[in-house]
Amino acid sequence: MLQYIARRLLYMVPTLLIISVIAFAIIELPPGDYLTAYMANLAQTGTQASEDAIAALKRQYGLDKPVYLRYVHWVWRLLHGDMGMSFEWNRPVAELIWERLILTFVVSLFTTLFIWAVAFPIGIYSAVRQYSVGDYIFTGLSFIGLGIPNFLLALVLLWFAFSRWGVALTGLFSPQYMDAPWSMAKVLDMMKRIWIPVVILGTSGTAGLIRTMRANLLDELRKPYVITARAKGLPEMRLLFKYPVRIAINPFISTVGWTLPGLVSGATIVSVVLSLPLNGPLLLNALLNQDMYLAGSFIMLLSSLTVIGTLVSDILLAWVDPRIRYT
Amino acid sequence: MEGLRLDRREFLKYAGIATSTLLASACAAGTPAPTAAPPTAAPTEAAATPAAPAETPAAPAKYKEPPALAELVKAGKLPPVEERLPKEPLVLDVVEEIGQYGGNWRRVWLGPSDAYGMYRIVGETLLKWSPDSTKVIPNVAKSWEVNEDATEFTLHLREGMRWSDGHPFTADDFMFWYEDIQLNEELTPVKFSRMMLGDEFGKMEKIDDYTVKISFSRSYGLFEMQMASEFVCYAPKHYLQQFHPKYADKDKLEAAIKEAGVETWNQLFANKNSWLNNKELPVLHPWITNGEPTATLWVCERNPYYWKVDPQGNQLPYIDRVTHELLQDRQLVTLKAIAGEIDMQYRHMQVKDIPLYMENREKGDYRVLMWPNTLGSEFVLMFNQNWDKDPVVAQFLRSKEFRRALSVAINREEISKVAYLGLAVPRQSTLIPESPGYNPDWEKAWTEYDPDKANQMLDELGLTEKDSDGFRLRPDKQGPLTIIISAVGIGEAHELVKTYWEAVGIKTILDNQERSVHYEKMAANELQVATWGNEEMIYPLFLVYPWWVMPYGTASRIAPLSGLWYASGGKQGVKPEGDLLRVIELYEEAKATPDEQKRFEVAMEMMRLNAENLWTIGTVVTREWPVIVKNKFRNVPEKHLLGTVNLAPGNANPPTWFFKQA
Repeated sequence: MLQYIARRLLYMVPTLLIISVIAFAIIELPPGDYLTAYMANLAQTGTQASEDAIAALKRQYGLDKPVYLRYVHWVWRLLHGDMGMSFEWNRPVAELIWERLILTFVVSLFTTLFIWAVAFPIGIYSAVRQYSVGDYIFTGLSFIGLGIPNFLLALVLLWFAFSRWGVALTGLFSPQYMDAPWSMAKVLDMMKRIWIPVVILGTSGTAGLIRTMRANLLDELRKPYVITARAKGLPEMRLLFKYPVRIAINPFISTVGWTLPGLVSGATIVSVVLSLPLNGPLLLNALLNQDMYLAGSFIMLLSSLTVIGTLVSDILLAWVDPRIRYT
Repeated sequence: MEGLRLDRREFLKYAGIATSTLLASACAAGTPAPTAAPPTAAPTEAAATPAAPAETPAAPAKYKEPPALAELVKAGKLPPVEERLPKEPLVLDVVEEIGQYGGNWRRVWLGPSDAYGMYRIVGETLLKWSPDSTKVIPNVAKSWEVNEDATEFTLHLREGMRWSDGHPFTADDFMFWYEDIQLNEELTPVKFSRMMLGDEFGKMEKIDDYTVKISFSRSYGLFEMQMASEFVCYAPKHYLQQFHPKYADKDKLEAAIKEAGVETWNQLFANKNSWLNNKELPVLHPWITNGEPTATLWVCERNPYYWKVDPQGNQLPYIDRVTHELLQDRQLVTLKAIAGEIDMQYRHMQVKDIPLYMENREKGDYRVLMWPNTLGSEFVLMFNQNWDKDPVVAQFLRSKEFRRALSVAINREEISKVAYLGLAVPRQSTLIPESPGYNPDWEKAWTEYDPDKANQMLDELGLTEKDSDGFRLRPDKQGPLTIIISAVGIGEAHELVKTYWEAVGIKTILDNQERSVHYEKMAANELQVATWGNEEMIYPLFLVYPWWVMPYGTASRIAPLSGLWYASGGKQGVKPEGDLLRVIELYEEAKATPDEQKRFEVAMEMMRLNAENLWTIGTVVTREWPVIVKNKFRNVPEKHLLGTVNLAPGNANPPTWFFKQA
């Protein structure tokens, strides 16, 4: 097992290196750079910069160096834990991401818990009571959940809340708590609002997992060992949870890894629509504005977390499912 | 137009609709108004908006302060109000009544890149535009003199005026800005353009602690207006010198650079010199940042040393604090407004949402004011006179007759109905009716929809043969004559123009460009026809912001290379010819002359050349934009000209706005 983990860790090094190249390349792809946009703004505000001035600014931002040098510089700093400065926000990238991290984490965690709490029992129920009225209802609902885009649901909810109660349900706090220090009251206030993004973000995830759970469990339930166990008189509930469910749960575990980057980035579009102070919109803006270091470091962080998450998933799977071990 | 910055994301996202609406609101976010008329009586009728209580009332004898500050004084934490105010504080008149202290002004924004909206409220310029935007009035400087040939400008400061940390504000702060910031090549590669006359940067001298002189080697008559237009030429020396290698201890500076996580001292200096991010930076603003602008709620608190009072001697501002809630999406601004969760704001309000604003007025307990703007036309088509990729097309882009034909081919009434709820009026992009020198003939020229006439004019240009699709063939018969319209976001108006032009046989391609691509191509002279909105179409503000009426820089889409030629003092770019060169010469004349009457005449000639040549085809404009104001939020003028240069609504005196308590 230890050897397995060590090998996997070793694989991560080249993977991350390749990712860093790709991440950097993606940011360099669009024409122009942060300065193009910046100079354009300067021009619009009545300042026409001379060629000399542009060159000076390029030097100041380090944009005059060839691409590979900038890449090396960036990776070197990254290795030292320095994610660079955001051009647009004029602050260290790490600070920007960090200050939004807690809320992003909370929302994502709640969402994941919500998804599991709902999808798990419903998936089992649907499989065990296949083609029952309940199964049809849940199946119908989950198809709707899969079919409606999250942001649309968010918009509809916002409008509903406004027309019903006359409030704009944006953000995670009501105005009086927004700039208040953390307190019990503030947490309670957040709880009042957090269900909106959680439910919205949860719908499609829930729907997806219900379908997966149902399909996997159905496969297992038809296998001979289940029939054998039942024939031997094992109580139905015990039988269900001891074997088929344990195997059907594999997809949950293998996706645990993917929730890790999700915990950091949050759901971008829904965050934009609901104006949640999470990391997703930050990344979106960085990409739009070619805020190179913010975007690059962010993508790098997410990729690293995906890789780490996948490793965690694999280890968990190996632990839960003996069939996978040591391959 | 700085507004644009914030709006980058909007452009990309909603780019669709009428570029100009967005643009409009963006800029609108701050748009100004009109006329500056220095001491000599302007040759004009007064401009724009009503309101505008005029001259400064006499300073009251005794001063009063907000209760919260009075307590601090009592506790010995703050000197008494008499010591905090200058000997001659600036007295601001109120629009409705003397206000009451207190309250929290709630606004919304799209994040730090949108900070310009707040700057337009708090920014304190050297001089400023009067509330009606007709003339230049004192602000930071209490008075000024200009010598006869407009080469020397002497400024008198307010004795006893203080920075927000209580440190005296003197001529040294001007000299620090001049010598150590502007003249430091490393720190400021691009000099402050308003103090540039051609390639000459103005010279600043300290006469005594409260007198500063700025001089030029040639006449710069326009400089008086420049000093009122986003002109800030001072910085808190006592604070910033610790980050400047000329003054700072080398080791300490190195340590500070390390600690801040930046690489060079100029980056550190720039960070520390940010009114937005740095709470410690002493400022002259009525409200000072007191939180992280990156947080959900950005808070600004009152400046206890603010140097303005009302006519009864109450220290301003009335309102305790201003908060901005961070929204990720512009559409949410509308939702916030109609839910009554915004106290006063016009930035990001949109014309197309007016029905929604109106419908929810009572429920949200707010009123909707309509403020005029300076847009000549919200959606204009600028024909690149420098375009040279294809000589045949270039020849037509440069043809006055061709442009006129395409102008009458446009159905402006229909554009208004389809893209602007019918609220926009057809007009060329020329001086707005409020402007001195407004000429209805320029406004109406070539705006009458007449496809027959357009066809006839195009025939006369020799474009008589058509291909099988009905498009007119190029004179060299190499396929149809094709015009490419480039825009950041293609909207309904673009689509309509395409159908109108194709209806008269001119093949039209719409090129939707991402913003940076647009600017790259603009600088590389690769745009044939670009669309945008034209603002500041009012005398004399357009002289301070001449991007749209002459080649002023590469952002002047009518001739980017000639713009570069002008901006670089003839060193780079392409020298323009004919009327395009004439308009530059006229501008130089208007800029230099100390004679107000002369300047007006020259400026009008510039406008006439624009109307005559139609380098820019105007379509329609929405003359007024919505402003949301809570009913208890008072002293806000009914009408106020939204311009860029006049720093509106800053020149409507936000420190005098207040919450009326029952």
